[in-house]
Amino acid sequence: MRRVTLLIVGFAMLLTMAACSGSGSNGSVGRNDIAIPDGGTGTESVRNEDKQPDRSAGVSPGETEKNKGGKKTIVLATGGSSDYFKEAKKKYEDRHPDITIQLKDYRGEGKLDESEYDKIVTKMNTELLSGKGAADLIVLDFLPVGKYVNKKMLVDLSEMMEQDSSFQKEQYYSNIWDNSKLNGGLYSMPLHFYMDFFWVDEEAVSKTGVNIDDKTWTFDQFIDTTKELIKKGSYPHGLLGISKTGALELLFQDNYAAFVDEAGRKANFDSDLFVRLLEQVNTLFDEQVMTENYEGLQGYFDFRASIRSIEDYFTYPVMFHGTGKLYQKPIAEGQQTGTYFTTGYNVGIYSNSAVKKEAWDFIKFLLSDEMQGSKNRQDQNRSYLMFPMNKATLEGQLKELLKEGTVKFEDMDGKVKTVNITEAGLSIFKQRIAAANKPLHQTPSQISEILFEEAKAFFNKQKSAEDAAKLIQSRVGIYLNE
Amino acid sequence: MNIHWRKKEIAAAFMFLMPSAGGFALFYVIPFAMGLVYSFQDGTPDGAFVGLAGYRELLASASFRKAAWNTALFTFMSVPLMIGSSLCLAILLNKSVYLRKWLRTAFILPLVVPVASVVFIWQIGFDWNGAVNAWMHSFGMERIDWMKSDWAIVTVTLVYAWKNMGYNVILFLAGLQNIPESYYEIARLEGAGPFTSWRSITMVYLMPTLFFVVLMSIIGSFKVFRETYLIAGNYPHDSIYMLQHYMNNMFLSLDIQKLTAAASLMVGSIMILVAGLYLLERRFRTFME
Repeated sequence: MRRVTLLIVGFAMLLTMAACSGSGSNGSVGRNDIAIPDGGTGTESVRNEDKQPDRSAGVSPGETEKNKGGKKTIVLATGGSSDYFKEAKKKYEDRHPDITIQLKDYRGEGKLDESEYDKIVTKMNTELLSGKGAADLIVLDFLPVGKYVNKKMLVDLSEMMEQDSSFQKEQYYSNIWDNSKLNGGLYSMPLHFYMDFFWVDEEAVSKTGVNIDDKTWTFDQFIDTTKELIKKGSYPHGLLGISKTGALELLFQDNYAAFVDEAGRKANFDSDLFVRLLEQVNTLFDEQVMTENYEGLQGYFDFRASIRSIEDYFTYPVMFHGTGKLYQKPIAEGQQTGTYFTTGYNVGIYSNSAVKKEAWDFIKFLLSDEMQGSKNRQDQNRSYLMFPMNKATLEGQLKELLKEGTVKFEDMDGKVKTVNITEAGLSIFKQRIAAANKPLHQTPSQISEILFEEAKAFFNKQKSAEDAAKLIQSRVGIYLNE
Repeated sequence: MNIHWRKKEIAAAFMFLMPSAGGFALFYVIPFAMGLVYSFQDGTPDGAFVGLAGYRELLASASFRKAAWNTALFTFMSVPLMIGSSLCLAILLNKSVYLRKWLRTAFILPLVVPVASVVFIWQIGFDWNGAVNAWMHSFGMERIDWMKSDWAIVTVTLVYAWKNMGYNVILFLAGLQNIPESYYEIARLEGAGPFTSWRSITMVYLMPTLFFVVLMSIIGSFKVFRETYLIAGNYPHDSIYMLQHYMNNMFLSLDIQKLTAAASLMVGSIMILVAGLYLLERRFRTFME
């Protein structure tokens, strides 16, 4: 009898634990990784070998049930409770009585710590995989979009754009969309964006007699130019306000293909090339070409020039260190010239949704002048407005600004200053938006995350560059070979 | 009459088993069976049957092979270590050692400490700037990056053994106390030394407990993921990258096919291992009888 009991207990335990490791391990999940779209600089391109059929035509039974009786429901999963989407829901429902927009917040208020973030991604993944309880429209800003695209969880919106004859792509800054593509399709559609520049003290630069062409300069040229500026001019520093990991990221993205071969599942971090790259970052900081601090320092450039509104664009040059200008950030060797941008309010349609057409119509409404100009976009996730995708909206804002002629702002010391708005300034601004073709991402990819973590040990002098490189090699190797 | 009574007893047994069997089926058996089905499909929802394609892809993954190897290595390292040391402790504690009661409690304590707290202490100890490195430094030794070098697997094994030894000690103590004292007395009268009586009485009568403990420890060793995940995240140093890391990361990549294939393979291997152990145990029993 005792033997039988032992046997039963034993097998019960075994099954419990085995099952636990099979399904239970989903409970805790790590940091996300979001792909950087296109442009060859992506740290996680999307694998092409998926041979799955496109299930976008599939309609799950749960989805159809809720659309009974002629009235359709679009479930919109938002990352945080957003007044912007509440406003959109109200206005859209008023105009379309047969549609109900149901807002579902997957993120909640405030800042997230890692474990909360893990829970969100786990829940979203489960919903997408099972097809039950999943939203039709999803705000993808915080989610691992690259993986969803790999697994065909999202609809290619560029196809929907083309099929929809009422949709005029020219009315929008479609260069942002074209350069946000993943796997050749637009799965995550930005509704807004902002741009990144280098702040430049042009007066100080011109005193040294060094010429800079910000349209074509590469990272190598930037480094050489800065060294020359420090030698010839009176300022001791080059680029202010950049961390060592930030500098590493710039240089890494510049040489991405030399280190990561995703198709071949190979990493090349234990090479001399990478060790030299790590050491180069240290040298750049030793030589003051780059400096993390910025307060009270005299430098030719400043890294912190993220421009999120037209007002920013005109006030930032004179905000930090007296008079300056915004230069295009250096590009990688062999890359096309262009402005760096970051997208916000990225939305995607779930490929198993039963209301794809309706969801697309709602996206179009979000892109309309009415919603794009909404002042309600200042929610807790982004305490600032971003540029609209709709050209008419931005043109309207520009016209208004030109009519006023000046922008008033408070500088770092609290003094109120005014900047004049000129036609010429506006036309350069417009050119820069039209040239936006280099996407940046707020969330680092898995590879960058490993890279930064291990590189920090080198920057803190805990490890030699070789040891750090070896660790990066082994960890990234695991990631690539999974 | 007798048959009728037996039937009744069986029915009653089923009645009592139903609630737990139901819950077990609902939360473990059914999901696992569904997982098994998914492992032969090409995705969810509504995947098509693709046979062993998922398993082929899985075995082609170098990271999966590494994870399987690491898990096996960890099991074969930690189980003997844990059983050996907990058996020694149990035998010692079974004698009238000074402060025996307190010592018993001390060994069981790690078992009730939550993993998160263990991990916290672990980090204080084995971080680059942690306590262990501080001691080593004060003795003039080079610091070691415990969690990010080949030492990682050793560290994990030690902390894991420390945390889970207490349970085995209890089981062994129970087994030891079940051996009648008279056996030892007779052995002594017959002139057997302490080693002989240990080998021929203690070990022989402890065998059933030993089987159970080995079984539990093997299964338990597959669960070390929790600790390593909390310490090193989803891409740890490659010596402590376990099967669950792989499965966890596959879930994050929404790769249900590889995830379920890996889980099925793992369960298969555990089953074979356990079946082997039961076979051994049966042999031993028939030998005893």
